[in-house]
Amino acid sequence: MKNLKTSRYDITGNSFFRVLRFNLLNKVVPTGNYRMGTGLRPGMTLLLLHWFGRPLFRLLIRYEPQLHRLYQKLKKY
Amino acid sequence: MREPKTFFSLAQLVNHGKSCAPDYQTISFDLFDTLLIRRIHEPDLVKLPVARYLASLAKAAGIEKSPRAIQKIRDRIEKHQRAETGKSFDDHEARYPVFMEKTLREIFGSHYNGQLLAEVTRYELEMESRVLVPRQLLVEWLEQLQAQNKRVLIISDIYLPAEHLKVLVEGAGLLHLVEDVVSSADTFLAKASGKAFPLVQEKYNIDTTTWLHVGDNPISDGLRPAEFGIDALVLKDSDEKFRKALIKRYYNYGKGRPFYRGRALQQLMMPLEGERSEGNDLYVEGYNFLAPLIGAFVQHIAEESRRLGLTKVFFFSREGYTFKKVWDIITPTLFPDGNLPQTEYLYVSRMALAGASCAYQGLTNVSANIALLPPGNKDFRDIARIFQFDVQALEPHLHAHKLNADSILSSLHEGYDEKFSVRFMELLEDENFQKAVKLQTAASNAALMKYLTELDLFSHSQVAMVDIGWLGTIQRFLYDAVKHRHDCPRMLGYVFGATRGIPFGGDLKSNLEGVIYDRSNLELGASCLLYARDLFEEACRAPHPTLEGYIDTEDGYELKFRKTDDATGRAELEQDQYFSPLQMGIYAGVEAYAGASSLLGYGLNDYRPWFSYLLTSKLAFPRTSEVVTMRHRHHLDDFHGTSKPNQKRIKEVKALWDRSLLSLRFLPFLRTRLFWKHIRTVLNS
Repeated sequence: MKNLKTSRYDITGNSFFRVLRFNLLNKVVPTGNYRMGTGLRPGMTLLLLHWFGRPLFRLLIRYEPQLHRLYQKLKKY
Repeated sequence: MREPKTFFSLAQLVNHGKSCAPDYQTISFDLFDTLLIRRIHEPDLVKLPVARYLASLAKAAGIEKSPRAIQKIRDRIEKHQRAETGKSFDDHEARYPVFMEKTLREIFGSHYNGQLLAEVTRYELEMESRVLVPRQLLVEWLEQLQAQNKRVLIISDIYLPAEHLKVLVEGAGLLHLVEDVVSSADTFLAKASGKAFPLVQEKYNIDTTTWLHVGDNPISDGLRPAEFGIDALVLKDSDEKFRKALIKRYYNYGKGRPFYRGRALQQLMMPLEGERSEGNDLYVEGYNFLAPLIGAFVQHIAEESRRLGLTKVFFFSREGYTFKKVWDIITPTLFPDGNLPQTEYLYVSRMALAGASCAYQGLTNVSANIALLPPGNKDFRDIARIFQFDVQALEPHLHAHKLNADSILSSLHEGYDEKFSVRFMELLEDENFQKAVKLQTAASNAALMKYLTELDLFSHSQVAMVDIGWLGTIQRFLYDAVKHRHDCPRMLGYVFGATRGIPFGGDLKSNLEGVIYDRSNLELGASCLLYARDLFEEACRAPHPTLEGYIDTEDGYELKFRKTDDATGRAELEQDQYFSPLQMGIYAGVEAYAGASSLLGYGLNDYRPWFSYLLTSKLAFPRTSEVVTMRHRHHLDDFHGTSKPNQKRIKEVKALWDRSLLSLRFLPFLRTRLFWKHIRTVLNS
């Protein structure tokens, strides 16, 4: 039995890493019209989020109020 | 004041709650983001499908307003109500029935009636229900609390009154586990200011020393109850933050980069908490790979039907069985205004219609070419088998043109001579031959007419015909069989993939559109469908045998189905059983698709870039395990003959999906080489 999603909230059998690989392949071989594809920054953000999001959020959630204040300050500049 | 306790995971909170539950008699829970979680990161996104629904209702009433304009009206009226409430209460609360009624009155003017508010409320609650999922660990705790005779309440700060919240709680299967549901919308006394707690204490006569409150907001569910002397547990769930961070990014990136729209759809389709999330490999492929494709295909047909004002959609057997089932699952959610055509499952097949198509126009060159297209068909016997001719009765006509039933008419076979093709063309121009053909097929056509009349085909002026693909032969034969009638409707064909091996007629009353793939549009990603057409056929096939023909009887007609007790029938049954989890995955997937697509407000064109990737990766560059799992074991096709063509003439490269396990696993660059050949074929065709 398989789960429909992975523990990283990714699609079973169609991980985001596979998506990125095909987007890379699409730069060399025309594999279809991906209409701008994943993009480097969004792609890397999502890949890292899938891979390291769980431990990262586990750590950061304890400092949520402090981080919130920091974001508010950063927004001003 | 007692300090609220904060937990960073649900399991920790529930364990703590269970251990201290004996000290409490009453446990109250926050509803949203505590007992129930939303699939989407932003609660306000649920309002968008409601705005689209209102726009469609307004349009039906002759009022042109965009969903965006309607959303603005709603937001303005809700904001105004909150400001008004703030003048008399500490909390700036709103009440849904009040501001929605005002919104509807402003949009619909004199067209407004009470029924409209009830309808809109029903849809809003349905949309909310679709995005809400109960948290499994809390449900188990609630069951324990009920068994321990504890009083359990739900207290929520929201614009929905308690009667509406009860609908949501019941939809989540929790209502029988709680004593009551309290909403700030009923009293304008909310948890945010802390006023809700004295109100609840008085109404339910609760001792605050034996009252435990659980929620996710550090102020409303932590500080405020603690100020009132209630013990509070606050949940700051890092896993939920992680999940929402992902869907938020997929959704937001999708606004600028269409590629992410399909990925956002699939992220929203993922089962959560206690929903069925497991299955065998085929179930997973059905849910994660085929369901989005089939869902978008059917959604596109429904959208086109509405746009063109089609009054009936016919789903062709046997693949149409799945498409119709998917239609029944997704359209009530995607098109809540109910403005949809009637639907009908039509028992047809190429073999059953081939004969009937000749009753008025005779055997045409195109029809004969279609019959000779499969490499297994070679002579007039194959044509007669397909069109259900009596060869013996037609032999004198063949002999008149120096042909016999065994003359090879396909260039792919040994013994073919061009002169046979020339003579066959002359035969088709022979009036006596055509008269004999028409005579032989008249009864089949008459039975078909009775069947189609019973299904009401001729009382519509424009209908949609839905099939899996590929040449559109069924629609072509059907149209040929009925086009002589003055009341023949215009047939708009929608197929999953259109290969157009033989150009589809030039008649304006019958056209064909390949929805996911169409050879007339150069789309390399979608063209990967050609790698494994049989997979889609087998995945969508109905659990009944193929139709062999229409029998004209004295009291009407009879549908003649293929027997199932022979080797082929048994093989087909085995195939059906093997693919049954795949179909279950598709049905479960499209149910999730309906809610997700409705929430996103996207259609097929938004999902195309993602589907392009999906088809390329799954069909042209599949993992070996994916091919082994999804490829069919048996594939019945009565249309194809059993003759072996000359291998030198067909020059076919063995397809990727027909390769052995060893070559799939070990042949270097196999997929790349075959994909390169595929690109050349697509570009040259």
